[in-house]
Amino acid sequence: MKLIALLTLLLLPIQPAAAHPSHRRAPNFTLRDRAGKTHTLLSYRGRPVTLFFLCGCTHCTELARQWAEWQNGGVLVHTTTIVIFAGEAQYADGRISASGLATNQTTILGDPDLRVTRALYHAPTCPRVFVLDAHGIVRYTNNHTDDAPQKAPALLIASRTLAALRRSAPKHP
Amino acid sequence: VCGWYSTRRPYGLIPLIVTVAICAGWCSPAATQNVPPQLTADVGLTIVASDRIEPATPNQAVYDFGKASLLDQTMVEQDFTIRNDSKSQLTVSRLQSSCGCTTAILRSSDGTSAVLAPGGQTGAHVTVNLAGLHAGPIHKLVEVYVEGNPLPAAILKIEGELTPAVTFSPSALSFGRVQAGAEHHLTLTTTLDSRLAGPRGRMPTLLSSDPSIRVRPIPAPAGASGPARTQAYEVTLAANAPLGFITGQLEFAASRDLSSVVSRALSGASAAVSAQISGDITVQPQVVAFGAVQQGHEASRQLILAGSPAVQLESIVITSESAQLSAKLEPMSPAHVGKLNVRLSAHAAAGLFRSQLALALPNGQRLLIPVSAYITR
Repeated sequence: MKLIALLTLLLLPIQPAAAHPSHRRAPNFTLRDRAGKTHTLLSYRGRPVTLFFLCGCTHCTELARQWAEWQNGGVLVHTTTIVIFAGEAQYADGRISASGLATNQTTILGDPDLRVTRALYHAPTCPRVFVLDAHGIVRYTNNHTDDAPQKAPALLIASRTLAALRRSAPKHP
Repeated sequence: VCGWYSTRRPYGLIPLIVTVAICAGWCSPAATQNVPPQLTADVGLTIVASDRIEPATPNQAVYDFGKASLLDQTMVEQDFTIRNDSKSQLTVSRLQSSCGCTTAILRSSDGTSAVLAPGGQTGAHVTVNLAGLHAGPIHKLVEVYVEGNPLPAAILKIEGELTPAVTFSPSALSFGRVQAGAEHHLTLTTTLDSRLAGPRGRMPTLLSSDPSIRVRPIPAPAGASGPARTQAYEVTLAANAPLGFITGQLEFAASRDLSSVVSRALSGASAAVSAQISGDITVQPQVVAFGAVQQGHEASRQLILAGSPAVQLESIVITSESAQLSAKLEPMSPAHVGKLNVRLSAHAAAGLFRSQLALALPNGQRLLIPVSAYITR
């Protein structure tokens, strides 16, 4: 009896779901890339993930270009970037890839019916970004008055994202 | 299990329940589910079908505009009729569009809200601005919210295909890792809608955003009778390009000779060009991203600079493009490695901050380090 109670108490602190609503666990999803390969968010656990929801409009392109500059400049080596494109992944080529995102650091997935974008992440308005720590907990998303999608400059959204990544993984240069 | 457990250990049930609750928390739907929850709230809002609008469900409808070219139209517009089929009054409180290219207004007095009695209806006018969008399938949506419900009560979709006025092949050019001091060349092919050609079939001018990258049209061979709208270009990385990672965009130049329709069709078309140029010094990381900095606070970042054994670090001349930005090189061991401490002054003005540092070597090689920050109030 005492042993069970002790085991229970030991288990309590490692309950994974954080209580704070803004630090909730990112919902898992499975989507396909342009080659048709399926990707599951859970398989990216273990290092920070930056999750972008982009459609290819001018706001999205500007944010992707800023991110590409930092990726290629070696600032984002400790994170994986996942782009969830509003459409079939193969059509992201001319829109998102052309922004210069580093192919070896970026996974582009298609969300043709926007189910992951809307129903799981409630991110219908682009460009939207979520920073997930190594445990899959959401540490930042641009849903504040001054960094809201369509209103905030790309550099502000990217800068806040980078700050959240640095907090999640202080090794970021 | 619980029956057995409560008989054998009458006070032991509590830890068992707690343990089960913990396990349930671990396997919570939010953590593992792949099936999305409900997309809309079924409150009785119905989108009225018409010859151009096909409701997939009573509260979700698609308008398919088919194929469109920016040379023919820059806007797609459609009216949707929304009816209250519930038995109580509903207030449409807002319309939320998925993209900055999409706007939606209600056909009501203020354009943003409407009170619908049972059986009452209102209209929503949706506009998608195609200018600035890349070619390919278009999926845009507008969510209709009613008071008292956090989920959208209806979804209006506009779908279709934007046909390309310009295509680049490849869509992005990479020189890869190259040595400084020599020119490098790549070929790019563009295909333009013939209506984009100017007087006497003249093609618009393709320009590079980076001065180290030049673009030159390749004349078609004499007697070639290929389609006039296809043009090949030689893209050249200059021998004196700065060291490090460089990136640019190839875009068609705006010109007074071009009509507004042609300018609009060309404005969203671009191809990215990149190169990693190696020389006698390297720096890591190759850019300085201060991130979000509060106004009035100083910020600093550190880079590691490494030179070839022949390079004297003291001989490197560092210049800053901005008075608010400074950098100091601190030698380390071994002698050809140093820390570059970059400092952003507390006096930097609020807003976007973009600048660069230039490191010049006696042999003429240059390393440019882009610097960015967003100074918040």
